[in-house]
Amino acid sequence: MDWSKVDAALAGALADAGDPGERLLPVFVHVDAGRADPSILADLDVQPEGGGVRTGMVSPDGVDHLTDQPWVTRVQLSGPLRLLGDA
Amino acid sequence: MCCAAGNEGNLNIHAQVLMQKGRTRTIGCAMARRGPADPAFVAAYNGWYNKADRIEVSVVSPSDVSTPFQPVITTGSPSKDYQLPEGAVRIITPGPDPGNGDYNFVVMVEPAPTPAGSPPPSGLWRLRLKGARVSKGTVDVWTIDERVSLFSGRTVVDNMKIGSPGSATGAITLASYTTKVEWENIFGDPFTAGLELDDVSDFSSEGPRRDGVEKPDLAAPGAMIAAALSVHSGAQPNFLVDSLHTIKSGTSMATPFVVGLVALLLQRQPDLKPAAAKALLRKHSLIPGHKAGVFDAKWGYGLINAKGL
Repeated sequence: MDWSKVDAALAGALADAGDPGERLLPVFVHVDAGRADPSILADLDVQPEGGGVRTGMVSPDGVDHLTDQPWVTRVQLSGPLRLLGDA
Repeated sequence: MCCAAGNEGNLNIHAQVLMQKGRTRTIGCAMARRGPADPAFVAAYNGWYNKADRIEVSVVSPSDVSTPFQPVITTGSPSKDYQLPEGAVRIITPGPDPGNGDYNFVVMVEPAPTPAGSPPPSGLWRLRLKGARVSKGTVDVWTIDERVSLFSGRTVVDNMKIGSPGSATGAITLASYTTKVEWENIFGDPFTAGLELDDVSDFSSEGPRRDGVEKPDLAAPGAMIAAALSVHSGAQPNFLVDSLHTIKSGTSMATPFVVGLVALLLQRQPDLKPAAAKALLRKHSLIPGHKAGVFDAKWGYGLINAKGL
């Protein structure tokens, strides 16, 4: 794992117990779009085509594999969405 | 894209401390109490500081038991877990952020349930920061979920409360302006809101952004707005004005006004780019009592003169 590419929230989620091959984490994957390998992204259930930021549900093992790719610059945990309360 | 600034204007979601080398600063965190039968929850905090500094992070429980100071960790996982008498703590102190080069840390606290029959703990946890290397010194910390924890004490500051996506550079970010404070519900009962008429709404979240970028951009009507009523909304009877409309407040109500204005601008000029649309709206806005072009962290550039666009 290249921890320099993992954001703080994702580092915390990766520390949770569970099967690193099974548990899925919602992530944003920042890539160099011109060099990204669509087949690797598709294998990890990350958007294979698109711009500089892709989304996917990736296992901890998958995050490890992604951060090893030179064209991946950053992997961030997606925050859970919720409705804003009335003021 | 038009975004709501947020409704945290009255909530202590932001704390700021100025560090000195070798000295510690403490931030009070008032946390929801967890009773013996309450489900688990996690209070989380995110702090940011300049790339020239190094700050170590510790958590102190209500009974004054502390984790060790955790430095920036650049080898292996930056996440460490600690068990304190009143709950579990996770501190995450990664290396520099690839986006801006600054450092950030995340602290997560899962309070233990209070044993049945024992008095509840005070609920006051503390973040303790130590300046290992200090050049700039400013550390900003935000609560991730204001429903379970807010800051207390002298470190609270009433600015920089606009979060994602309203903090995005390209977004047109809207504050709320109060145009109505009285209404009658469906039964004819009169109600009055505790807001100042014809003023920026006190609940509207303040900017600017941490890096000084001006946010919010503009203000629009967002208080006590009679909005279309969804069958799924579960509106309270006091706010129902008829069978089809309910009174709603928030910067989410201000945002559609400007979405509509941008739609009209695009109808007139289909090739209008987002940055140009924002610049046009800012140019034709002002804060009441001020000249156009004046920015305020609560108002942005103020109210839009739609006729002048």
